[in-house]
Amino acid sequence: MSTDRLFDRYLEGERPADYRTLSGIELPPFLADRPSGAGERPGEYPFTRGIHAEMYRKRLWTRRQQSGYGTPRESNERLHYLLRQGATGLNIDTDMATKLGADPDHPLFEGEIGRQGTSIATLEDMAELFDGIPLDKVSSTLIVQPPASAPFLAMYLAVARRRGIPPSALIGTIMNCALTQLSGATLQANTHFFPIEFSVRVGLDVMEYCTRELRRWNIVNVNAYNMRETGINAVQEAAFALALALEYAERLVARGLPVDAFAQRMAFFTAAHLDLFEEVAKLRAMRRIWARLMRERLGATEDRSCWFRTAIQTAALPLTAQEPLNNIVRAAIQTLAAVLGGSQSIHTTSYDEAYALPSEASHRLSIRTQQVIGFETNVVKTADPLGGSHLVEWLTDRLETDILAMIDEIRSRGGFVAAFTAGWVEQQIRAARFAHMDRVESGDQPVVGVNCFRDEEAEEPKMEFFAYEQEMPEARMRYVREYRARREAPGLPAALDALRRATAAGESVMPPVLAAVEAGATIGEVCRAFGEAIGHTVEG
Amino acid sequence: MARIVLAKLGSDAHDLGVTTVARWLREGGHEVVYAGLYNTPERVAQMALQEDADLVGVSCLSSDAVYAGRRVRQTLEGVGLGRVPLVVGGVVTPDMKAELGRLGVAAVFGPGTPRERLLESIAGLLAATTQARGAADGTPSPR
Repeated sequence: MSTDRLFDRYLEGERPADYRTLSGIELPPFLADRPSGAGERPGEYPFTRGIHAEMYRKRLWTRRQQSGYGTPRESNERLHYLLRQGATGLNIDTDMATKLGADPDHPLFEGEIGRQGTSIATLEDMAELFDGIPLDKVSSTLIVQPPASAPFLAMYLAVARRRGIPPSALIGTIMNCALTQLSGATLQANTHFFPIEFSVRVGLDVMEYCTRELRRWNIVNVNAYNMRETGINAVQEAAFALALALEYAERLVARGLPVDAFAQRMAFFTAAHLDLFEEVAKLRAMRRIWARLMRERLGATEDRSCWFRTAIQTAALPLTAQEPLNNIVRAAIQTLAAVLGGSQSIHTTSYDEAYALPSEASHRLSIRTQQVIGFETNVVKTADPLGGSHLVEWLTDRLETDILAMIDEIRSRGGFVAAFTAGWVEQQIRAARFAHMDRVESGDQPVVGVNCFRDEEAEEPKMEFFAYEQEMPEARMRYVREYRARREAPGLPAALDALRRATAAGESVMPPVLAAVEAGATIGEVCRAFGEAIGHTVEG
Repeated sequence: MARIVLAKLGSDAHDLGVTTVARWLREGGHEVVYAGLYNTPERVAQMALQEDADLVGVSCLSSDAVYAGRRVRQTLEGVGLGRVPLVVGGVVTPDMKAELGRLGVAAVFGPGTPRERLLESIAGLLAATTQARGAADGTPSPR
């Protein structure tokens, strides 16, 4: 916005550039009709107003800050720090090599090992990462997608077994979503390393195994957040995630699992953007839609199977590198949206996100933001505090209609996996992100401190950023080579052979992956065996 | 107008920035060859060579921009493209920006860079190389 335009606006009086929500819904000046949600109650089907009757009165959301960088030892220290600061759950992020099933000495990941997440290659690494953390008392979310989710989970189970904790006592979540982890859903990111259908199959193998063996474990976390971060709107975020989750559920039923055996352990990971009421309405609509899909389409009988449970991260896309302290205000409002929307756990994105991974200080500020809302504002003292608001109920109904229409469109394209493979999802993402960028560029979407109210004379922010150990990638490369040289693993070749045979035969990969990990295999070796078995190799 | 090779390096799949910049450059009249994700520095240099690039841009969000800038700069020099300007876009702290300047990276574009500023800066770099080439060859540049 030019200065001239700004001065004109001062004369006119300041007002919004338009009256639309972030996803383009035109808002009327006021709403007076009786909202349709009247009569719905928290804790009752279809759970629009929350999955529990008393929500945060009985238990606050889990403060679950994502964390992970460098070596497993460094990450373990940060995990203990977060727990000391009042985090009540852990959220383990791995580096790209680990997520993609490559060991630290793979050439494509040169210079990147341990950045963006912790580097895990061996069972020793996993034991070190969770050193001193009771796996049956602290719940952990493991951010890793198929097929690497199979050996990663196998290592976690092996660590638990060595400590005498049975699988049925483990509490936590494996993200395990084949299509949504890699920076949203761009096609190249999801087809380069493994074919989509193979990743989906291994994801389902992991879900099936967890359903049977890990009674308290969440088998999948459909990552709507990463899709939203590509620039799509609230309707697309909700429709993509719900359509994909429905497809996973249908495929598990087709494998012979009863819906009530697994549906209550499917979970979601959604974004909280800045459009406060739209985001609250989005979560309410997602709960209503998911409950009905599970009951009406899949025949779930238990209420718990109809619960849309979601972790939330406050969206990083609206955070700015310019005037980064403004991000503290944005994140607080987004966190409030997550709370008013009835989330089960929250990660508040740090204000320095536009520059680096969080420092200890910015991590602490994120936790404090949640604690201020949780303990000082009293918004937690009644369930669904915005329920019955004309606007929020109207928006909930409107979003429900729009989301259902888009789910129908996805179903008409053969479901989310088929629509994704055909490139339709990619087209949606591209169109949405360019439309968003155009709106920011034209000033139709104001971004304070960037395209309006920008201080041209402001100096670069003076901030202490998180800095990586420059030697770390090299050290991890040496470690994994030294591990392979020194391990005593006489059973490894046979275990990898068995894994290749089971993979090629289309059997569940989990039993041979567990055996290979026990025999000393690295994550990279397990995933290379997958690739060999299906004849998919990656250059570089 | 110029031929510009843009690429993501290593495993960093965050492509919102680079695809936006590719579009801006195309709309600004340039010919853009976008190499997509998962490139090594060697692949970027080979592509710059094959495409006869006037300028190379790499985008880094989760990868290390300083590491990438140094490796791509060296690799370009290794294939005889020392005069082709290299620009870096993405998440770059002020310290990293200064370091990239020392490494010979011609320009660095952080988050929120407006379209005009980016296009002006690229135009300036292209004009400077054309001039330098003309002076070295004693003939006007074909482009």
